[in-house]
Amino acid sequence: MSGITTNMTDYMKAHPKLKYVFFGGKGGVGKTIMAGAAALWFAKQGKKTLLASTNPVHSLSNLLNQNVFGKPVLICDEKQCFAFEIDTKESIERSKKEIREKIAWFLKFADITIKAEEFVESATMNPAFEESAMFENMIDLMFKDEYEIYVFDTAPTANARRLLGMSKVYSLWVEKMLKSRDEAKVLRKALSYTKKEEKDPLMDYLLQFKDRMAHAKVLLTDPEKTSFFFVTLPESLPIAVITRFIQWFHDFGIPVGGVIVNGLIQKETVKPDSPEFVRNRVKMQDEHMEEIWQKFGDGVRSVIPLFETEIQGPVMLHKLADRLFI
Amino acid sequence: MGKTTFSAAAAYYLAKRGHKVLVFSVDPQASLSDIFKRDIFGKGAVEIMPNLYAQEIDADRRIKEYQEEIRKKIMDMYGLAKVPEEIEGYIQAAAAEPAMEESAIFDEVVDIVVKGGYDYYIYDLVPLGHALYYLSMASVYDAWIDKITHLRGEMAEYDQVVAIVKREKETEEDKILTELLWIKDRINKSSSILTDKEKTAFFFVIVPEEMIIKDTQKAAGLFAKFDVPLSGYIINRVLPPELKKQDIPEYLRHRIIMQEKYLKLIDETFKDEILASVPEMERDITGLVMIEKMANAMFGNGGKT
Repeated sequence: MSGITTNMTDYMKAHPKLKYVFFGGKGGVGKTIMAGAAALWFAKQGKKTLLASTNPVHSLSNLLNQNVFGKPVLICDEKQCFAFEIDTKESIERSKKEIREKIAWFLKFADITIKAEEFVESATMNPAFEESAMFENMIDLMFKDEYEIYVFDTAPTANARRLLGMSKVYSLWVEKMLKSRDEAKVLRKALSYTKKEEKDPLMDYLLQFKDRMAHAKVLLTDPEKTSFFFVTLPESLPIAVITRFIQWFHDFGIPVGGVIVNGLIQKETVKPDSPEFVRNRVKMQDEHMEEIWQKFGDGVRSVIPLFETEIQGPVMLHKLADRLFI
Repeated sequence: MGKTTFSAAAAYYLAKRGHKVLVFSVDPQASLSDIFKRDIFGKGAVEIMPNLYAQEIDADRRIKEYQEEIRKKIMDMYGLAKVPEEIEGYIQAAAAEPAMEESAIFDEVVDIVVKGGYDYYIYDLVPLGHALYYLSMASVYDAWIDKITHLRGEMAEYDQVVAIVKREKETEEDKILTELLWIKDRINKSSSILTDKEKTAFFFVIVPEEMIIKDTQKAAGLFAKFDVPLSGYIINRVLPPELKKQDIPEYLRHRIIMQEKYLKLIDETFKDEILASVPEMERDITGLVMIEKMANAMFGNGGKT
């Protein structure tokens, strides 16, 4: 019944230079376990692999049965697979501090006597802020270039979309900022008595930011190096979500590796006298599988059965890797 | 987790009881179009059935409208026929601001609520951060505008001189002040709606999973900090326990046992604030038939633990 034309193994063979692998999809579909299984497989192929999580709420340590928070930790016998939960909270705190200083300065400048604290707290609670921090951490890792393969358990969908969809506007924005800083600098120089050149930290930051974004764009749109895989369950809403995501990614030229279907109830476990609840779910599943084949067709890379227990621990994860890369 | 689904089900329930309801979704992960099986994106309030209207906001269009508005204001204020290229660049660039999309969505939500016309408004709260941000903005904005108004008072005598020399200058300044006061009024109006315990209720949806329980506790803490009324919790996707006695596949038995553990934790954590427990349905909640089933589970006595 499998209509898979190119499975995960074939896909990887066809993309020997692949370096950055992402897993995206609706919450709760199994992105982290797929990323974990893929990382184990790459390591088995002899590649030095990093499995990284940039989520503020991590699940890698729990999945692997060992603490991988804060620094890359060896997770398998092959001596070259590492897992790493990045301390997103810490980087959020750091940028909060920067913003707090900027806002405090502004409030003082505008002569407004109000505490900046509450304001900063709420401004940085914005989900966009958290995602930006994740994105920054992710590209930092990519730029360091210490591994042959990077597997990320969450695709930075909104940020990638914004960065690539609006990169023209992004650079326009940075250029504008650079220009006004330049003008301000010239003006200040003209006004000051000492002709000493002052260092402008904000300018350095903007220049650096511009370079980083340009670099990230090059890496994320390189079809030889990068692939985004989308995970779904045979259910209507997760399918709708990845349909939307895949469309966005196509529009912005981000390479989509394919679709992984997770949690397929095995028909042989269901008997004619099984409760109606179970039989109905299987019937629904058939309808959604049909939709999946119709929508994603050649793009389906793997269909993973629903395991009897939750995927947890290295033993299960190896089992999953064997299924994912048949 | 089912926020959008529950929003749709609650809207259905209220509409069936004769109230005029508008439900809007702003979650890119689950759209009302998917749930109602109809493309309503960017089409304004669409009638789904008598009394039930649904709306999905097109943030990109809203951002374009902002830009157009800014262009118009600049041209009006400075009597220009065209926005100078230099400034046009800034207007274009503003769209790249990371929180722009969220802000556009929230702005439209405020528009809709301030405008009125419905008995109930229901929305899933993705721009949660923004709602709280707005609340804290209110006080900063108040202070700032007071400051500006005060300065304007002090400058009154200079203004008179200026007005004689250059008549337009005065109208310019007043336009800016009017604009600021309008924004202030909007922020105050919407923040008073959000914190009005008689008119506003927030419900949290949880599923029996460890991470989600923890995240929900965190969010509830933030709500309390901003004095936003929190009305209770709804548990979603609870597997019917009676299945355990029947001949079921192993995977299902394991899931039921796991859920029992977390349901206990939910009970201990949220206690009498739990309003309903909704079972995992046999199929997806899309289309009005399934939404009705969901509404019954939510509001019927059968759902109560």
